[in-house]
Amino acid sequence: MSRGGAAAVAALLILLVLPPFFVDDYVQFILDLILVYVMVSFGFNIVLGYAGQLAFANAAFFGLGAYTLAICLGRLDWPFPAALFAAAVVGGAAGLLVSLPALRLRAYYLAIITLAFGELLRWTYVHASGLTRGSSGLGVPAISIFGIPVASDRARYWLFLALAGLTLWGSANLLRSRFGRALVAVRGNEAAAAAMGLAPAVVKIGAFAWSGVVVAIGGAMYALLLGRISPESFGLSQLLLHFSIVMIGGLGSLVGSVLGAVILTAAPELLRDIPGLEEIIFSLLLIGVLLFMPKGVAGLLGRLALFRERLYLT
Amino acid sequence: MFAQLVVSGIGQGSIYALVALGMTILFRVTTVVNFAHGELFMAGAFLIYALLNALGVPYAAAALAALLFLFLFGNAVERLLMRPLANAPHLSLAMMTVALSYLLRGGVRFLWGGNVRSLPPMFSFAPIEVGPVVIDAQDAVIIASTAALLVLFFALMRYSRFGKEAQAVTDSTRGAALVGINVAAFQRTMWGVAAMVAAVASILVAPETMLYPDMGARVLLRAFAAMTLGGFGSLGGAVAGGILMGIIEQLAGGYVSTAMIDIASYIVIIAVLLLRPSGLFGRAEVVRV
Amino acid sequence: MAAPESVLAVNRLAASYGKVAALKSASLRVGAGEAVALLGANGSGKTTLLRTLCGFLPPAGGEVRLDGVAITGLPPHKIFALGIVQVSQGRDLFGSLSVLDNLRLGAARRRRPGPELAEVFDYFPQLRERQRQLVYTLSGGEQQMVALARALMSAPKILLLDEPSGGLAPRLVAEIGRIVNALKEKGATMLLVEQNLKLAAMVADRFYILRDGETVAEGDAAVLQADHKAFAHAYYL
Repeated sequence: MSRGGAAAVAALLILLVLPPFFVDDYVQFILDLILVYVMVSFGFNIVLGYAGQLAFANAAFFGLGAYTLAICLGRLDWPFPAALFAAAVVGGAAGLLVSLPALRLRAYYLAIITLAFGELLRWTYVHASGLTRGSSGLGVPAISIFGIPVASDRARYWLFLALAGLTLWGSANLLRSRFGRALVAVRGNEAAAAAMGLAPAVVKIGAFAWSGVVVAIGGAMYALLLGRISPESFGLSQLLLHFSIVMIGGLGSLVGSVLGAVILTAAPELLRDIPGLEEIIFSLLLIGVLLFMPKGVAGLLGRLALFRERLYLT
Repeated sequence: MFAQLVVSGIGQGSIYALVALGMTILFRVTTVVNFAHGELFMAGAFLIYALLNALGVPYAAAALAALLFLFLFGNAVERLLMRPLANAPHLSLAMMTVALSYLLRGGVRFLWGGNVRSLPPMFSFAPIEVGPVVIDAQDAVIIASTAALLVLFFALMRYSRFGKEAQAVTDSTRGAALVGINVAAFQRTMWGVAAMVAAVASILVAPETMLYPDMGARVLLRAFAAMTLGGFGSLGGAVAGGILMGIIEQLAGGYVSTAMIDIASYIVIIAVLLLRPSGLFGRAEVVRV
Repeated sequence: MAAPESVLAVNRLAASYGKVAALKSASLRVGAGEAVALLGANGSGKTTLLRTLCGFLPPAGGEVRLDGVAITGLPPHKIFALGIVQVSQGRDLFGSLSVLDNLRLGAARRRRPGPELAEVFDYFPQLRERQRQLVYTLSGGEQQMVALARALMSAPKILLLDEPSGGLAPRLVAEIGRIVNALKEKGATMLLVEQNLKLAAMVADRFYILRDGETVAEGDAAVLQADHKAFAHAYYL
């Protein structure tokens, strides 16, 4: 990285750290929520955008992360780092589990089995009420990290920023590695991936597992932010939000993931009150993206030469 | 109790069979798995509801209107949403149907809200008693109509030129074009036909069931379970799988717990795909030359 | 070459797959009752030319005329209706339908009076015996016959044959050659892509050579008959 580049990154980091000093509570909450969906989008994009696999399990990973964290903190009294780690492990295991059928089944079977998997989990949240308190919802206690309480949306912002930053760094490195190149090759042609010395099966399992980890951490963050979770938060409308963020931001672009999360997280607050409006607007956006700009907002920006290089580095 | 459960299972399963059949005919001719098919069924039911309640038309007229509207709607979907993506990757086609499913659900929620609605029963003759089994009027109508329609449908597929051409497009789109079939137009018609088959299910089920915007998503998963059970892409398999799925649900509900009714289809999907992906009737993939 | 009036006239036709120009400038004529061979190495654009003629690939330039009328850029089903019918290399049969259904579908959408089933079966006695059999259960040679028979049922003005002998055993190649010759004697107009020079020489009146997407030579088929080894050497290497 050049000296100018390093300076730019440093400036960006400072800019990102500052907002809690200036914004009001509501904006702070939205900023936190954006970081949650940045995580979701990083994770989902790996499967949908980079590996090109149509899977509906993302809301399931998200819910697993949220419930695992809430149960570990509230029921088992685990310290936060351990609970977060548990959420990541459960998410990764779920990713591994749904990727196993993906290996030998055709593309639409994967979509169907993940759809069933997500609905099955949602049913479990409702009916395993001994663990989840069912439809009435499960509270998430306040946390502290190594003795330092993280109770306000401001404090959470810095925690979330650190987690998102680490994930972005990890994902970008992963995608730049041999694994990442093989992943993109799987989308086009499995033989090409094999030619890179990695079995397509291994690549797919890795993609789903990493996706599960990242999205589950996002779910854990979501649980912390809301303080109470219930099964209906992890159904089809959650999934629509995930699809929209990734598709509208841009398939196969991490920068697009951030853009999608910023654009779509701020918007729905305004739409929540009118039934169906959120679904209508998001689906119309999706249709528009599919018809007119298949590379999403990132692709649009990518047409400007200025952005092109950086956007497609990752 | 067993026989009673099986009979109500066949009633429920008939609807799953019709929805799965619609998805299968579309899949065979276009290779698109339509994730919005449940919503076509849902929209048909709400259309009938609206025509009956708001305009007070007779049921038969509402049913005809639903058939016609969904046929045209299916054509429009193909022309406006799917055809422009003809050269796009398969993921985009599937995503388009996902987007459409949300659009229809949102549209209905916007117009009617999320509340559950219902229609008065269409038939009110006394339940039919066969030994210990009681078949309720609406179930009897559903089972009989579905059976009649299926006979008609399969005769059409087997003996008519339209049926042969559908098989031709399924086997080879290039071959179909080489014998002069306008494949794009044929696929558009098939979108219309598939949507119309969904409307048939709506017509049969609307007077009996609760209407709510998410009813389509619920039926979609059962239709997927039906197709998976019967072997994905097989017409007969979709029907057999649908009826079987209805019976499995009722038996699970009757003998295990009513909560099982909701997840029987998910378990069936996961179990079949893991253990026997070609389906119960186990024929291998459609043979292509 | 005093070709009779042209049924098919192709002028400087070009086509591409995405950015790859597979066909740059192909020009040829086929007269009524004529059998014309299209020769060239693999990748020279022969199959692309046939695909473009049938409307599967949009032309990027040039012109196609059928009986003097421009038909450039029409979709496949319209081209079929006008009478250009292809027997493709992949055959593109309907495997899960019977031989009979395949042939009937060949005739279902034809716009011109065509032969009866019985007439077509006269060319292919084997198929008459197997008319109830599902096509995917047939051997490669029999499938090739179904493909030819289905095309005949379509009442073609001009028949495009893409490698009719491809992948077949020598005995079957001779059989296909015999059938194509018989068709020709009945006055069929044909454009034939063939790697097998011997077969091409046996059937064709004239030939064109395609190289890198351009027609670079044409001539009388007698040249092929005389010395196809020297010919192959000259044009394929």
